[in-house]
Amino acid sequence: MQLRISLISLGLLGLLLLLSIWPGRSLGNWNWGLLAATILTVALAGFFWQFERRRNSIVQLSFIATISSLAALSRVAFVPIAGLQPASFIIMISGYVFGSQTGFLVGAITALVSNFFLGQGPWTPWQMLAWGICGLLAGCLGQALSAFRLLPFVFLCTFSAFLFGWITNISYWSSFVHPLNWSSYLGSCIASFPFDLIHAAGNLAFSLLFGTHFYQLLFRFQRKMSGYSK
Amino acid sequence: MNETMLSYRVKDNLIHSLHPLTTLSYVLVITILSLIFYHPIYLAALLLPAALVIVSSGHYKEWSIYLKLSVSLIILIAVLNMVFSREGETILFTLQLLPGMAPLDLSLEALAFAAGMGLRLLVIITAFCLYSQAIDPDRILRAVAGLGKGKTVLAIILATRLFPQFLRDYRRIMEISQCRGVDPYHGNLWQRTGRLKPVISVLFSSSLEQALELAESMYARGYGSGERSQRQADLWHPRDFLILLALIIAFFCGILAYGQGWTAFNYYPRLSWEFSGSSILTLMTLSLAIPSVLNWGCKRSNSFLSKI
Amino acid sequence: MSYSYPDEKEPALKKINLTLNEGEFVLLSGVSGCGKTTLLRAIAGLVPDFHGGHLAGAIYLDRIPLTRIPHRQRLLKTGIVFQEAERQLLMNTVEAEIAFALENLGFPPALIKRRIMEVAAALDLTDCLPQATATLSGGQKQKVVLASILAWEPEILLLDEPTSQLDPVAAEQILNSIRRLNEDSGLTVILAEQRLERCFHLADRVLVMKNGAIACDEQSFDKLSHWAVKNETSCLPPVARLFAGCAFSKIPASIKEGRGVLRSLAPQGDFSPSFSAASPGLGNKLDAERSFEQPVVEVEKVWFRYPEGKEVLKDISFNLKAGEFAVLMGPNGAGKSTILKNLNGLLRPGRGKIKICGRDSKGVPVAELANSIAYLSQNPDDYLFLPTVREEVKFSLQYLAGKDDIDSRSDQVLQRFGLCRLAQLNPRDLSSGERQKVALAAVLASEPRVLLLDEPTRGLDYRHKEELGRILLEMQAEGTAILMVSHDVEFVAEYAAKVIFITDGSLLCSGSKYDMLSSSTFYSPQVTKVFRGIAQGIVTLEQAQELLQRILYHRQEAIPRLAGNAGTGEK
Repeated sequence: MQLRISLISLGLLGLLLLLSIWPGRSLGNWNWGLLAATILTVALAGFFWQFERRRNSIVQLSFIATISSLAALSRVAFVPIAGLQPASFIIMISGYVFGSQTGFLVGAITALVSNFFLGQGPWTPWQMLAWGICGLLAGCLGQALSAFRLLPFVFLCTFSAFLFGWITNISYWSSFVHPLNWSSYLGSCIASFPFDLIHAAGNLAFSLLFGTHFYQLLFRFQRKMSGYSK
Repeated sequence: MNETMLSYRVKDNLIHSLHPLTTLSYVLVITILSLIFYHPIYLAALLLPAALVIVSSGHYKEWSIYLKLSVSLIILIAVLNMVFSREGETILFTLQLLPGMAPLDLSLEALAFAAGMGLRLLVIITAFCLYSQAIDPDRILRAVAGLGKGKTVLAIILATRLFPQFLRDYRRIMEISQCRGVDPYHGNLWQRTGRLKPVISVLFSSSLEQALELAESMYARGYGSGERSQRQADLWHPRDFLILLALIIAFFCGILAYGQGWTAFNYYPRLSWEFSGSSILTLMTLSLAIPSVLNWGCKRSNSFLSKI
Repeated sequence: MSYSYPDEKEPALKKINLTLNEGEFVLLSGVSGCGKTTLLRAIAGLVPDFHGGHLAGAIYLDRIPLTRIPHRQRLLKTGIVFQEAERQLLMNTVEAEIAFALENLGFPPALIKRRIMEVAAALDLTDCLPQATATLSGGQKQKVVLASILAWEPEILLLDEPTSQLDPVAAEQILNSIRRLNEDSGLTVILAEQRLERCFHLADRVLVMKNGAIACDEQSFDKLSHWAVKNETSCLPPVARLFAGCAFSKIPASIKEGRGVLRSLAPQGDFSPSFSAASPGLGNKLDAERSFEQPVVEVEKVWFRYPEGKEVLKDISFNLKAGEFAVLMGPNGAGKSTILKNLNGLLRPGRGKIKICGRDSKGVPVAELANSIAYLSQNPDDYLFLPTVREEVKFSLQYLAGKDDIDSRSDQVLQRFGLCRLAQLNPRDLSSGERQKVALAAVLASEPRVLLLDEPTRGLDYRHKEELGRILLEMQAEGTAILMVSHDVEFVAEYAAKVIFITDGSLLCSGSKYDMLSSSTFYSPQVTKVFRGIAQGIVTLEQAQELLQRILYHRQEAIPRLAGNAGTGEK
């Protein structure tokens, strides 16, 4: 029930966000950059507020912190191979196993914490939202499927890399580009396409290579976790 | 190597001795104002005091890195604006991208708009550079720990504290994996990625086991045993109130100028150079420059810092 | 009281009846997995409250059942410190760490500040308060954890092997702080510990646990040692074992007492010459045979400096022949681990040469060197990632040895290490001692020529230490050269052959353990200390027992009637 409320609230906020940047000035002559930033802040705050209200176990809390820290590490310093980012994969597999809310939190905290080390910027909240949504989607997939199936997960992982790019593109598109319409947004997506492609290729490789193994690993941990009563 | 790995550096000056919420307010005021301003002079009037604060707090080097990084984004903004804007009347040149496609008119106005927006980007980047360099994450998190039940903040603090440990663990496990004959530096991309499997798995298994122990430690130290209290956070100084007052003035000036329409700028269809509200603009810039002035005062006289 | 964890059939604690008094210092001993930790958790209320599971019977705190006391009130009375500090720290700075518990317990801000100040002063942490916890040493980290518990001034302090991951000096400091708290402020202390030689003399009362039950509960050392002689000698410290082995009726607990007994037996004279000549035995013969062989590891004038600029190794030279078992000893930061890393290629010497099996290691990748050099780090968990023990062993074989007959060879290895029983289990479910054995089996599967070990005995109980020693001696007999870094003097004295002392990056001296350990004041085992001034060159327990028997024998021949009067008797 709690989860559903938070999902609906996030959906509504997302819809509002989309409306605010809907090309064609459907909301009058607003300042799109500021509006998008405000709605983004409200969306994140709303989600964190839901988390604050929910009764979580201590083990869950420490799990979220641990996995976010690992994902942040993978973003900052993990791989000796340039360009690949295992963070998305880590966020999504934990979302898949532990559900949408955990997925969202892990994604959002990963973005925030990794930027403590890389440097905060106007991109931070957008990355928080984008990775949060990636984790959330993986959680939905996990809830929809009864047993682990690699292929849907790989597909979602690959697609999410593009989704991540499209969401973070809004950050500069909404504040620095004129006119704000579908074609200029599409232009920004084309510009980011090479980066998104590398990201997607990385996600594809990681989920193909490590997906099953990590699912087992996390599933084992989830079983262990359920024994704890606090 | 810096053990905690944070981008924040401890420095001994007035800017660093401010209450973290003061610095945060400064960053927010600059960012919000820059998002509502379009006029290049008004944007420059934000950039100037922010840059002064950065330089006077000793972060010129980090700032220049931020600026270099934003160059590519500015180019991207310029290209997007010039390609997609059809409203400019002064056509610089026409570009035939692909045969059979309609030719693209690149206008001077679009270039000017991109330059203005590039300025806005620099303002925001500068503000966030200040955030990254001058706010101790630990202190800001403690300052906001009272929000909600503090669960989110605790998770963030815990994740930040675990980070350097996991980095050390990762390096160590990587070495051990090499000593077991797994060479992650040779072979093609696919092979090399595959060879990370033992490293990542070990790191994950150990860290997740640790998560259980951390949870036990939290429980054994009374987390969740009832209402939490809050230890004394950072103290407020006169300098914080001084700067907050200046920020209110600056914000008010900015809103006033926006309400008067002075901060707008006619990029399209033809550039028109209009500028008004110079006294308001000066007041805003001076208010925003107060932190750097105070910092300069502290450098001049040793007793100044203890008085404010 | 009995308790079982969720998903476990066998109860972890079986029918325990125990009363602990205020102000007592109780030492809880027993092999790993005997239920020490669970008992502490039960007293702290963590089982079943945190871990779930089922508890039968009841625990009373000041005559009130624990289950009726709310979490917070219970905490105000008891505080618990676990094994590894690194795995308990939650905050970025020392101050925040200590404040965390106080905030959770709802202390007012002014009191929080005061308690932090006081506990920091008591544990000598005042200077570290603003520091990041990541920058502290292991000993300091454990102190911070201790401080964070003591800050709310609990009446009962429970400690679960708080020093097992520390080096002897840091461990001593922690134990001394605990002792002082017990003496000065009347804190009740229950300490679970494996390093008995360091805390036996601290305790007022000793409990020995076995298979989830309390096997022995004694206040006087005398009674305990009698029990131990009958049941489990190895839970005693070496000096007590020495006298217990010769069937003394009153067994000394400390070196001081032991020396007193010896002095009364042999008031004058030096017994050393005849024995030290006879003692070396097996080792020397092997050395003589091997003196013409080419060394497996040759280190020639190696210098090393980290990029940050600190010179860590200065002009290090030594050789290691096949079948040699050498140990690097020295203070923290002397460069011991750096030498190991230079050998296995993770670091490369700035100047000088390292030859492995006669071949210069310069330019050879780490993964290739791994064919002849195996390396076991301090933390066996760093090796375990596959779902079963068998696969773990196979993994090394795949990468290193030839690709054929992996299955049969991994079976052989499992058999040899006594792991067949565990082959299908997940290594992460095993106890720490077993995990270490799996890691060792995995690195030794490829039959390397050289084995490097970094602090292998850290956190092991005596049973696993004995098993590790046995395996190492077997490897040595088969011609593997072993180089180990260790602080564990007792283990080195018992099993190694050669000792190399390192300090401040340079080689101090090296030689057989008989020369090195018996001439050292700090790095010497208990039996050497007992015999200092009485006999030279006594290093192993076996030697010491042999000598003690002889002294007794001589004495009996000389004055047979006095044998019983000194409070001693012979078999």
